[in-house]
Amino acid sequence: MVLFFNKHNKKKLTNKSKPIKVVFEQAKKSSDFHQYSPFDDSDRLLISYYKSMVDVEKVNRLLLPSIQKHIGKTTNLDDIKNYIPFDDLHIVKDGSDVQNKLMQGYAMIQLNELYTQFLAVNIENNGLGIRKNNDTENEFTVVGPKVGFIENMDVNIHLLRNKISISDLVIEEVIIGSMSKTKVAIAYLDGITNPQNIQTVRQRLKDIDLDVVFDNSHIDQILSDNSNTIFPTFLSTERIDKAVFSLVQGQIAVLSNGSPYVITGPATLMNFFITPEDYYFPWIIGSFFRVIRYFSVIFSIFATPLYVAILTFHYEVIPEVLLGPLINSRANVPFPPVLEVIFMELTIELLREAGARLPTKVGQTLGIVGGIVIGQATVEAALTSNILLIIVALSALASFTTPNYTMSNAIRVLRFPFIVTAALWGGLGIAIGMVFLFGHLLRLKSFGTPYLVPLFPFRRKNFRDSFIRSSFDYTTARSKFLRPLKIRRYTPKRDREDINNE
Amino acid sequence: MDKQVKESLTVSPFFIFFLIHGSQTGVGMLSFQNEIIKNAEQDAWISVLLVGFSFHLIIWMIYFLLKRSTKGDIFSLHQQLFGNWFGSILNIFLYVYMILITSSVIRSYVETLHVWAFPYIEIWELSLIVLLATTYIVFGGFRVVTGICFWGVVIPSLLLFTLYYLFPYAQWDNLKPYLNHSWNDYFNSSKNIIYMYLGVGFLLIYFPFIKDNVNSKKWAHISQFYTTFIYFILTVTSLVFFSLGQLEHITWPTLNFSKIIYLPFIERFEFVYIFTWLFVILPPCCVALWSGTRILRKTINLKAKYSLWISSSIIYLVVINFKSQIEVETLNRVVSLAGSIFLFCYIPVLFIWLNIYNILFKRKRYKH
Repeated sequence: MVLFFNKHNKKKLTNKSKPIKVVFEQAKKSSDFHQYSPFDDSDRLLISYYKSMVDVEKVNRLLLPSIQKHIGKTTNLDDIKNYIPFDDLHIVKDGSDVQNKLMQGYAMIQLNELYTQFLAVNIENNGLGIRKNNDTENEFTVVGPKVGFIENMDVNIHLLRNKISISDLVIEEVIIGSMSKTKVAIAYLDGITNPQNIQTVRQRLKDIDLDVVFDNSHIDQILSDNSNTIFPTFLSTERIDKAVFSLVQGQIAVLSNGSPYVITGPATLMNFFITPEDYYFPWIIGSFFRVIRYFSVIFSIFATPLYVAILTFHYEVIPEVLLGPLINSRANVPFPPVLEVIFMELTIELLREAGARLPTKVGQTLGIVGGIVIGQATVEAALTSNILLIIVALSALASFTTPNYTMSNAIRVLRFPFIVTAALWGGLGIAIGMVFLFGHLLRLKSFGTPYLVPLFPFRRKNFRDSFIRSSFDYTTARSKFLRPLKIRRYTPKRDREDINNE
Repeated sequence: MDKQVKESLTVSPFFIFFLIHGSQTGVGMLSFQNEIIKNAEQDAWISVLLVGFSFHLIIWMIYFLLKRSTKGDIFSLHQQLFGNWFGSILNIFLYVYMILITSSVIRSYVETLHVWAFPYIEIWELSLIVLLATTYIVFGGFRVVTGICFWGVVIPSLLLFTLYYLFPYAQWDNLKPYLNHSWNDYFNSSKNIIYMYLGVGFLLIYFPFIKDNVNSKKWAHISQFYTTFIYFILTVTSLVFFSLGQLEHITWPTLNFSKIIYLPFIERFEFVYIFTWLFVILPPCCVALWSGTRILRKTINLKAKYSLWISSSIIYLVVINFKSQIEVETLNRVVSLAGSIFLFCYIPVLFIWLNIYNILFKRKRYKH
C-alpha cells in the first residue's frame, strides 16, 4: 500500500524530493506546527509534528516519557524503535516523504539536526471532529440493522469486514486529490468479482485529477461512463447491508475518506429500486412492495403529463361520468392545463427543496403547514383544480417511494420534459418522450455494462430477483451480466414433505 | 471469411426475433384488412397464412446468400458478384428502397394521427417529431435500434389482450362458407399483403451484427412464424367482427374495433391504440433508416453522422411532399411493389445467380 501510494504521488504531483530544510521552513509558517526538543541540549533530539493532526494525549503520556526515560542508551534511530510504544514506525529520508507524513499526523523524530534520517511515528488522531456512529437516517428501514457508514473510512472498512469475514474481501487504496489527498478504497471479492471490471475501476480512479474530493458522489460523477445524464449510474448507499449485498453479487464498492456514502457498480436500473427490506420480509410481501414501488415510479412520471395531454387534446377519452366532476373542478380555473400543472409541480418542488434546506424541526412543521395552507388556498383562489391537487400530491408521494435518493431526484426531474411534450403534442408527445427516454436508457452504461439488464440485453435468469424477489431457494445465482467468476452463491437445503418427497 | 463485426457491437441471436418481428409490424396492421378481402373475401386468412409460410422459403434463401458472401451482408455480395461499379449501383437502388420504406411508414402513421387525433396540427410538424425520434434512436447505433425493436414488440403486445373485449360480439358465421375461392383469388389477395412481411429483408444488411449469426436461423423462422400467427389472429378477428361490406369501407379496421373496448376510466380506447402504435412503427423506421445509413456509409464511404443526417433530410422531404391520403396510398403501393419485387424476384434471382456463379467460376473457393 505504501509503495502504491508513493508511486502514485510522484506521478501526480511531480514534486521532486525537496530539501528537508525547505520542508521545515514551510511548515514553520503555520502556527500549529511544533518543533522542539524534550531536552536542554537541543541538538540531541528533535521532535516535530502538527499539533492539529496528532493526538496530544499520546504525545504527553507515551511518546515523551518513553524517550526521556531511555535517552541515555540511545545512539541511533533503531534504538528508539525498540522502546517506543507505537507500532506504525518508519524511517524516512526524503523531504517530500517527511512532508506527507507530517500532514497525515505523524511525529518526526530526528537525533541530530544534521542527520538526514527521521523516525516517523504514527500518532494521528483521525477520529477527531468526526461523529462516532451513524443511524441510517436517509435510507430507513423498519426491519434490519440501523448502523450506517460514517465519514471515517477505516471505520467503514471495519464495518464491511464485520459482515464479510473472509480474506477474499480485498481493499485497495489510492490517494486522490492534489490538495485533499483523500484516501479512496476499492473493495471487491477476490475470485468472484470479474477482474476486468476491477481493472476498469482501478484505471478510472487512477486517471482522476482533482484538487479536493468533497464527497464520494464527486467521484461517482467523474467515474461515470456518461456525464450527460440525470440517471445515477452507480448505486450510492449509506447502508452497510446494501453495500455488502452488492459486493456479494460481484459488484465493486468504492469508499472514500470523509464520505458516509459508498458507491457500488456496475449498477443497473433495477438496482435502484431495491430495498434491504425486500429480503427481510417473506418473498411474497417483499415482491408486493417492490411491485408497488415500480408502479409508483410510473405513476409519478406519467400522472401529470397525462392530465395535461387529456385536458388539452383528448378530453374525449374521459368517460362522461368522470367528465362532470372534472369540469366542475376546473370551471373557474383561468389557465390552460399546462400552466396549472407547472405551477402546482413547482410549488411541490419548492416545498421539497425548502424542507431539505431548513433545520429539521422547522422544516417539518413548515412543510405540513405550507402544504396544506397553500394547497387549500390555491384551490379556493381558483388557481388550480381540486383533482390536479390530488394528482400532484399523489405523484409527489409516489416519487418518494424510490429507495435511492439520487434516483428519486431523477424521477422528479423527468416529469417536467414529459409535461412539456404532453402540452405540445398530447398523447403523441408522451409517446415521443418515452421513445427518447428508452433511447437514452439503452445507451447508458455503468462500467461498460448495459443499464437496462435484465430487460435488454434479455437475461431470463435475472428475473428471479428483479421485478419480484423470489424465494431464497431460487435466488442462488449471481447475475450473469456482471460476469462473476463464480455463479453460485449458496445451495439451499430444505426438507420438503410434499408428494415429490414421499 | 469474417462475417461478424466487432464483438462488442453485436447482439445475441435471440434478438433476431425482435428485429424481424418488430420490423414486420407497422402501420399496415391498422388497415391491411381492406386489402386482403378484395379477392379471397371471407377466406382471406388462407392468404395470410400462404404469404407467411412462403416467407420461410425467403428466409432460407437469405441465409443461403449471406453465408456465402464475404462480409455477411448484401453489399459485399453485390460487389463480389457484380464487381465494384455495378454492385454500387445496386446498392444505391437498395438505399432508395430503404428511404422509401421509412418515408411510407412515417407518412402513413402521421396520416392516421392527423385524421384521428390531431386535425389541427400540421403534417410537417408531426412528421418532424416522429422523424427526430427515429433519428435519435438510430444515432445510438445498432444496439440501441435493437433495444427499441425489443420495446416495440413488448409494449404493443399488451394491446393483444384487448382483443378479448371483441369476442362477445364475434359472428363466427362470417367465416362461412369455408374455402370456396379459386387459387387465383388466394394468390391475388396474397399479393396485396406481401408488404406486411417486408421486414425480413433488412436481415440482408444487419446480419453481421448478430453474434454467432450463421447459426441464428432458428430465431428468424420463429419470428416469421409468430408474425404470421399474429396477422392470422387479427384477420380472423376482423372477419368475425365486421361484415365484408363494412371492411371494404372502413379505412382502419383495427382502430375501429378498438372503439368497442370500454374501461371505467377510458372512454375512447383507440387513442391508446394510436399512441402506442408509435412503438409499433418505430422498429421498421429505425431499422430501415439504420440500414440506409449503413448502405450509404459502405458504398460511398461517407461518415455515419453525415449519411444519417442526409438520409433523414431526404426522408423528411419525401414525407412532407405527400399531401393527401390518396397520394399516401400511392406511396404505399410503390413501396409494396418495390418490396415484393425485391424479396420475391430479386432474391431468388440472386440465389440462382450465386449458384451458377459458384459452379462456373469459384467453385474451389467455397469448398474448403
